[in-house]
Amino acid sequence: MVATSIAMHLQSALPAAGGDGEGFKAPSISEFFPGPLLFEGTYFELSRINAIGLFMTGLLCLFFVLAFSKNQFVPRGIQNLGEMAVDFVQVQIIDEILGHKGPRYAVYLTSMFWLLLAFNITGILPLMHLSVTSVIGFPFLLALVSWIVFNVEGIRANGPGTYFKANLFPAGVPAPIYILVTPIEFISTFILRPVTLTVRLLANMMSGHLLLVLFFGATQYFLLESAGIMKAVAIPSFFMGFAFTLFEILVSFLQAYIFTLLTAVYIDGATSAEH
Amino acid sequence: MTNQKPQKLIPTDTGPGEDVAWGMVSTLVAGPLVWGAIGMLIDSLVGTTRIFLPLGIVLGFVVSFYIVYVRFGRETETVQEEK
Repeated sequence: MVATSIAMHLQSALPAAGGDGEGFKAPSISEFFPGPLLFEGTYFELSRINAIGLFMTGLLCLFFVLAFSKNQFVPRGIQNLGEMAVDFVQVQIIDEILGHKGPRYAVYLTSMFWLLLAFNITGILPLMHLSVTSVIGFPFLLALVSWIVFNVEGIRANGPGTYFKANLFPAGVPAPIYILVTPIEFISTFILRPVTLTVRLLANMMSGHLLLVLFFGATQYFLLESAGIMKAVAIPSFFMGFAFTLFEILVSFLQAYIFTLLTAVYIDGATSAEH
Repeated sequence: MTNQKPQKLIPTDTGPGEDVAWGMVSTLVAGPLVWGAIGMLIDSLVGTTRIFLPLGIVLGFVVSFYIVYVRFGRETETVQEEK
């Protein structure tokens, strides 16, 4: 898979690397705004990134439907994989962070983790080569949903008075100091949390894609366009691209994990705000 | 087989640790941001140029460090004392 992915990257990097002899062009932000793919000029205009998002969502739905449509007491075949997928989030995130409160949020957090992983990993999958989460809309939407969930659950569990008091007026602070502290707590808890969730994921996926295009673009440029000893630079450049392709697998997984983990931590904090 | 739970790959304190780290970062960012903006607003209302803005940023930093101490430092001290 990695070898195919690299070959595809090399191919997609050709225009960026100035394959027409115009010299090396570094990858730019335009990488993340591919042109329309279907229904151009209509309300339903679909870019490559939207199409990848829809495809991966469909694939994930299909996987879970197939895994759990014929449940057996002793799991076999795809049900095994499905149970492993659910169990991973259950053990590593839900039980660990939420404990007895976990079952209420299990479906949401499990769906979120696997959807994020599916969206992140498209950055290195052959024929796709663009993470769905490397444009701001997708991570922001997921962060917004997380924000709504932890606030609604916090208010439901503690009542609005206790919830906002615990978050805006930290205990043990002299009353006059609240004039200085409360505005910061408001921005930090209610505005910056979804922003940091969004930016962390977005920046990781964007930079990963740019690095891959840069290294494979440079490989192609040094190999085909440069002369003499400079051609040798293509070798370390290729190996850096290879290393970063492997690294991107880890980053995709880690970012999906951190996003889901922090959502669980925020829900836990919100539902026990009196502490 | 169904009774076997997979081993935990992540240490127990990773979750809260992540929260503490990002909580501190967002507090330290929010402080200068909020009080810097208030300082800028006062500057534009009073008609001064860049007097209250730097004052606000410094104040924001100081207060956000205080919040970090109250929210996280004091909790850690209490836990250590309990141990």
